[in-house]
Amino acid sequence: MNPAESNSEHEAPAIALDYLRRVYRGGGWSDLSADKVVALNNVTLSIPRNCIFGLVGESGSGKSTLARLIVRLEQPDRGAIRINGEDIARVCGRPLKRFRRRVQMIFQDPYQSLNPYHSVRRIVEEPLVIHRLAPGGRRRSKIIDTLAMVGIQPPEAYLCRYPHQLSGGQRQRVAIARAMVLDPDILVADEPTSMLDASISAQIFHLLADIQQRHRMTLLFITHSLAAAHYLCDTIAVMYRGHIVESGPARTVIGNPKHPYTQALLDALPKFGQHGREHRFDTLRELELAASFTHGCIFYSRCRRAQAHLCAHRAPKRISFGQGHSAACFFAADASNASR
Amino acid sequence: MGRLGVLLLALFALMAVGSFLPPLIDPMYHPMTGVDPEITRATPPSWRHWLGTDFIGRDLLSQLLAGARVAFMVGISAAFVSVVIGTALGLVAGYAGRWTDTVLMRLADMIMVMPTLLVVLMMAVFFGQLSIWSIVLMIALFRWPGVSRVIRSRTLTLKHRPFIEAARIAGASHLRILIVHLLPNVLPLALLYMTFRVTSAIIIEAALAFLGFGDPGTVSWGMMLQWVWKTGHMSQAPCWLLPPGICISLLTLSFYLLGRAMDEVLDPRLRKEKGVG
Amino acid sequence: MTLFRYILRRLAEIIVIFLIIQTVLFFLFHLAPGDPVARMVDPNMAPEEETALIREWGLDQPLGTQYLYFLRNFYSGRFGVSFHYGAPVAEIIGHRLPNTVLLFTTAVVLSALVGVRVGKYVAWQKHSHVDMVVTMAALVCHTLFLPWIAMLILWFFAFKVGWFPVTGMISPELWSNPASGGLMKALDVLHHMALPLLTLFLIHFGSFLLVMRGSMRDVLTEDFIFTARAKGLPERVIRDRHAAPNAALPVVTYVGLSMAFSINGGALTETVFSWPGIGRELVFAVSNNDYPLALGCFLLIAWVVLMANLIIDTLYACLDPRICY
Repeated sequence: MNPAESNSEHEAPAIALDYLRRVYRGGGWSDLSADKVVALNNVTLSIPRNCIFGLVGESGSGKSTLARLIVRLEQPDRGAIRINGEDIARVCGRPLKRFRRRVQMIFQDPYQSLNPYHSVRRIVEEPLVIHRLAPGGRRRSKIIDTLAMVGIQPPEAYLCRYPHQLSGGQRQRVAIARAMVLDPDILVADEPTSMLDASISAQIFHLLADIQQRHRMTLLFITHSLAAAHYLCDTIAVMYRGHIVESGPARTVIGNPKHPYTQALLDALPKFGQHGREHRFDTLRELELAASFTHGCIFYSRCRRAQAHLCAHRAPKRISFGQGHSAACFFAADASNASR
Repeated sequence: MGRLGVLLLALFALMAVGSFLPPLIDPMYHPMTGVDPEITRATPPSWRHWLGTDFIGRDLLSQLLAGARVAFMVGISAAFVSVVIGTALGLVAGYAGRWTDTVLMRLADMIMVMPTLLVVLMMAVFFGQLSIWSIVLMIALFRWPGVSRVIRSRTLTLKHRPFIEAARIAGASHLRILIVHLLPNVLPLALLYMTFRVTSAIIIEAALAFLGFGDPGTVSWGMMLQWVWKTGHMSQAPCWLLPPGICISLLTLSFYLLGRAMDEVLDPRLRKEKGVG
Repeated sequence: MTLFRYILRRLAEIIVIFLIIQTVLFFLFHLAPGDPVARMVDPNMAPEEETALIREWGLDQPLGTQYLYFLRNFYSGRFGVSFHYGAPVAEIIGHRLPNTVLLFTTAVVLSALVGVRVGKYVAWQKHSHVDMVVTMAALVCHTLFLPWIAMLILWFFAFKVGWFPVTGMISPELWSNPASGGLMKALDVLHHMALPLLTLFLIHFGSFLLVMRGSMRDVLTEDFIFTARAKGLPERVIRDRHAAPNAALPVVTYVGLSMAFSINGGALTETVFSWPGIGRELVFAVSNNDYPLALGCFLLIAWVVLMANLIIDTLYACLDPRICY
């Protein structure tokens, strides 16, 4: 189905998620039904090797939870996470530490993701110390090389600085260096630029694309902006309330979106030289419907196209459109008519 | 205020260091064993004894200086031990969470509500005469809960910061996260609490000594007050009563002022304004 | 209803904690060097009395059985016999407890009333000379070494000017005289109580003032104070009706947190002024190696501390509508 998959059939995908489910329980765990939030529900996804994969969704859609599961900050309640074919959803001890070397992450807020009491050198060095890599004199040169690679120039001058002496962009570069110093196979970037100025975001995008090219690794790029995903990614998936509603090659999904939610996201993008209220698809309801999320389509309450007898009772299956493009909507097949 | 505290502390430190001098000048100035051969009763200040003598002719000034040394020793070592215990348990409770947290904090609550002075008195019933080091240890063992409560709540706010999660993703063990990442972040707070613990340790030791349960081999300010009281000199010799009491109160005050000044420096509301710059 | 359940839960916790304290004390008693039997039995006792005592406490039994004996005796009100008085511990405690309660509660209530009021007033005069002077005085009161200030007060008021009696709680000749009436007796107790009361008042007053002043300052920056100002309410109304009730909550918490500290202080004050209370009895028992009496006093104090904390937490819940358990 997926172009990358069909090219190299023997190679397992970089990340494969099978029916992944994660539920957060608020309050005490004595009462299971109270304050239950289903962050991820039966998420199945395959991310090929050596590509930039974009995961798009609004806040609360479960995209950050997905990232946290993939880097094993949390464990899923159900389902498998296969990294290069190996299920890591429940590993611990030595295999977990081996896994940690291969999958790294960049956080959203560079002001919070660096220990304020550690120097740049110590921050970048720590993964090497933990995994006993590049011992002796090679360690310093490894750190300097990595810093140079992420665009900290000149690297030697920054070794002894502390996070509060750096700008936001520099901090995010240091965070990238900390992740890249282990030469990981997979890098997860959770909205790496949402806290930065627009011009600096662009630099970080370039840097990430450049690093991905040079190191031939998989970059999972998580964002709330379709524009950023379109700019950077080869393949994208759109998430809504813990479900993947549409996925496929970036150009196809954005050029010819099939799911009403994706269409709504595209409508929401600001367009230059046009009046604000001109919508291409117009798939959102003015007033939301009341709906239970236990069965039925998750987008039912906000969808203009929804039909009560169908969408409120059954969850749509994913419909494929070829080239890996698929969407979970009963009306996805005739959605192309809806546009224009 | 903080400057006044530091000034007073420096003065007391000078006294503690100076306590080694008098016995060198003349053995009769030894605070414990030195007795002026010509005096056998409490005397008011004179050229020979600047602060006077006690009921058997021992020099009060050298006792006062020795008391400063004991107060520092007791205060700082008891505070250090209790802050080490409190920080370690607070970090573990906050980081581990769940039942470890519940058990440790219930234990802390239980110990916290007990009046330390009376608890140590009970220990004196069981173990008889307590030495100065066992007093220090007892104080430390019963004064950690306050520290660990504060450190725990700080750890809880730090635990979910991205830099801790980044360390986990880098493969850091729990021990490494506790020591390398969390400890430096709570250390300033622990240091602040140490100044408060010093005060309470000095007071408890002085009160114990005053009640007659101090180490009979050391001269502390509480002990001096006990001698005044026990020998019935209260009505006759106010000059003997004043210096040790003033010293205890001022030393307590100076640590308190220092703590308050540090608290202002560490106040998160103030730090936020300066932080990013 | 939830508050009632909370109180029940806390009570259960207190019982468990109390049992733990008892158990620890029991085992310390047996682990400490020296013969435990000798510590329980008065050396001046008649042999038959001694055997009766050994039987009652099971001192010839194995440790586990002794523990059960210990608990059984405690919960049936037999705390042992004091060596010094030769009387049951329960009886002695029964005599001493009202005296401690009288002195201690009077001191705490008085200093809380005055401290909170002055603190409220002072916080309103931020950075004035009055504020500076009063705060510094409170700070000094707060850090004064209690036995020392007690001795100073005793020296000045009892020895130097001789306005107040030196020790005790009553004048025996007045109380043995059948002619003296109830009012005379009450005034006599008050006369004796003045100095210990002054000592405890000074120590607590400073802390209450500081806590109230600090929390009042915090409240002053809140929006509802600005709203009250904007409504044009007079300063006094803002201070007494809007700020003070909110600022008083931390003071209630402080009473609970400082309970241990003030009980230490109470014991020291009682000792210096020979006030016949529980704290002095404990100190006295410890210096005389009167083990049963010391244990009885200590367990009573522990029980009071635990219950007082529960009462304060409940009070806090009643005062603060935002808290629900």
